Amino acid sequence: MGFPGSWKKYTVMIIILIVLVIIAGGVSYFRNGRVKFLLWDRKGIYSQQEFMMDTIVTVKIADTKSRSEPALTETFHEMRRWADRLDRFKPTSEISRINHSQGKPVKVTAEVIYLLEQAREYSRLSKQAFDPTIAPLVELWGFGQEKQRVPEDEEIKQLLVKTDYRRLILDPGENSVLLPAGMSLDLGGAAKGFVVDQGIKKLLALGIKSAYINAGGTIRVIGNKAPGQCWSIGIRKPQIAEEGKGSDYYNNYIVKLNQGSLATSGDYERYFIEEGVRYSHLLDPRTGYPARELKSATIYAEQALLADILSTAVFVLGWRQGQELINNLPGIEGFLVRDGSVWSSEGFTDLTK
Amino acid sequence: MKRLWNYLTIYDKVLIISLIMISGIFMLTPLVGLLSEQDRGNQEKEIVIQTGDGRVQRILLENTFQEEALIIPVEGPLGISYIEAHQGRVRIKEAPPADPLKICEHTGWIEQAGPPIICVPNKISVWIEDKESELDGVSW
Amino acid sequence: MVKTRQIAIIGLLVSIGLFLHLIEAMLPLKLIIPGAKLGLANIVILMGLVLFGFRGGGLILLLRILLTSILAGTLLTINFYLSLAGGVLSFGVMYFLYTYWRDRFSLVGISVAGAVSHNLGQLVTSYLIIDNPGIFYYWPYLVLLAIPTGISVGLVSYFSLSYLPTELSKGG
Repeated sequence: MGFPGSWKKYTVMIIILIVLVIIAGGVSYFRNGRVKFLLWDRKGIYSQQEFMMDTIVTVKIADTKSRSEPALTETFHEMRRWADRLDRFKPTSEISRINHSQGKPVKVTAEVIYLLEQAREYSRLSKQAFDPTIAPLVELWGFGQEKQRVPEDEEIKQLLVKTDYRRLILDPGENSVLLPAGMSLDLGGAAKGFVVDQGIKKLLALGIKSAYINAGGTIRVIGNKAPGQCWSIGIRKPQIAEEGKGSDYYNNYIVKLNQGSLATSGDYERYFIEEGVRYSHLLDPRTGYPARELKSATIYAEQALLADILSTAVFVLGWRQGQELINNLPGIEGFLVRDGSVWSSEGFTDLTK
Repeated sequence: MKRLWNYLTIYDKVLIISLIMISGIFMLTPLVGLLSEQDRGNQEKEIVIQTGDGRVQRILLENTFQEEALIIPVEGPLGISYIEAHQGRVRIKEAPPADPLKICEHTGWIEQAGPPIICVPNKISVWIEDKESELDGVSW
Repeated sequence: MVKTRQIAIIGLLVSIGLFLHLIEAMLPLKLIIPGAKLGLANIVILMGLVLFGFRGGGLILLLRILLTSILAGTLLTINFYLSLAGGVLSFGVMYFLYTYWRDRFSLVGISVAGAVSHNLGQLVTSYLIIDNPGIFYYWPYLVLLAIPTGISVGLVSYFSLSYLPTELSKGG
């Protein structure tokens, strides 16, 4: 059997090989993008939630299962590493070491230097509506602790001199920080954004092109959720959770993003009530008292760190000056809520279309 | 028929019957999905058109209930395919002349989430998807 | 002498395959299921496989695909690769069954398996090209169609072969 008899055995093998190469060549010439050989490893949205930085952190990845699942684990690991370094209640954290340095220079990682540089820069741009050295005032008010109280005017005045970002000395060449004795850092308005940025950086390094991170309302996304479909993000209506409307959001302001960050600061987050007056945790570093004019401020920026810092700064600045700051900074958009009215910058309205 | 049955070996019969059963199961699985989604109505469905370069257009199905049919020209490697959406249905109205078989044109209308219309030569696929109205998250 | 006769028969089978393909193209089957085909040309592949084994059958397959696509003007287009992929997979499956499990499967079973794997090869190749898994929605319908045509193709091949003089299948 066999035809024609004179053919050598390997001729058949060569022909088979040639045919297979032709098929593979044709397919790869015509195919769309990367071939996904495994049907069961289809693209989808894979998410994970963990408790971190006193809040819920959600990471969603739009990719194949085999790529998403290890990436989720690694990203949470990375974010937790940075959250620990910024935790001022953890004695070994970089922030604690700065706070307990008694005026001596402290070596920190380059990323933390960058974080402090940005914090200082936006303190300057917002004319100290944001200040990373606000920790003494926060402690005096006792936010997040059991002994929350309204301090005396005198007490506040004494601590105002200890809240001054200009006295925070950074040496990027040496990666060292010098904070005068008696002062201390509180990165409550920047840490979440910074950690989100580090998480996104990790995802990008892992080759993930499409993802969403939400750390306690500070959100950053990369890429589309599905082809042609952005991630859609609501903005919480600033109502107190007890009224039963805590999770309500603005239907007309649903932000569609395929890159960039959103962060919101609101007076509903952490507060206490004394003698019928509500005191929110968002203190004005210039007066030492909670800022009252706005109910919430949402900022869009490329980086979550900036969105986080600026949402705090704009909340403190209030309606008029907040709008001014948003309009003056390139690449920054904002959405402000006060009693009875909302304001949205032009670019922000575009993001909701 | 009797002769055929006698000619078949037991392995033949097992092969044929199991193939029929497998395809029956596969056929019913998407149907189950379709039936449960029917009550969602047209309001929350959208037409998705994907081209070879990975670009995607989405059109709300409810926007096709107009007197005039919506004609969407889509460019592929062989030329322009014309997609028609009208009264909650969508089809490929005209495949480019360079497509020899025009299979996608023959597929006809689709009006539910289910099998897509696929034009392999012009690398265009069209399908109906249930619109995801859910938010991904809330900034607070 | 034998060699010449075999070449002639292979040529004959290839041209019958082309003819069957043309007949098939006239049937409006693709109106019912997108991309469906009867696969009548599989008759000559199966006969070639039985008469001349792997080399002869494979030669008929490649020649048929090449000539069909030249005649239809689809050479080196996507359709050409689709039929090549389907044809090669189907031929591989049929060759395997015929060589190793001839005592278990009749020509009908082998032909059904070939028809189903032909569909599968085409669908997987289409999926790789267009990257839309929704294409597999059509698979069960194609399989259900492939079963009756596979049975017919197997029967036709069986009866044709039984009418042919036996010395044809004796290779040189």
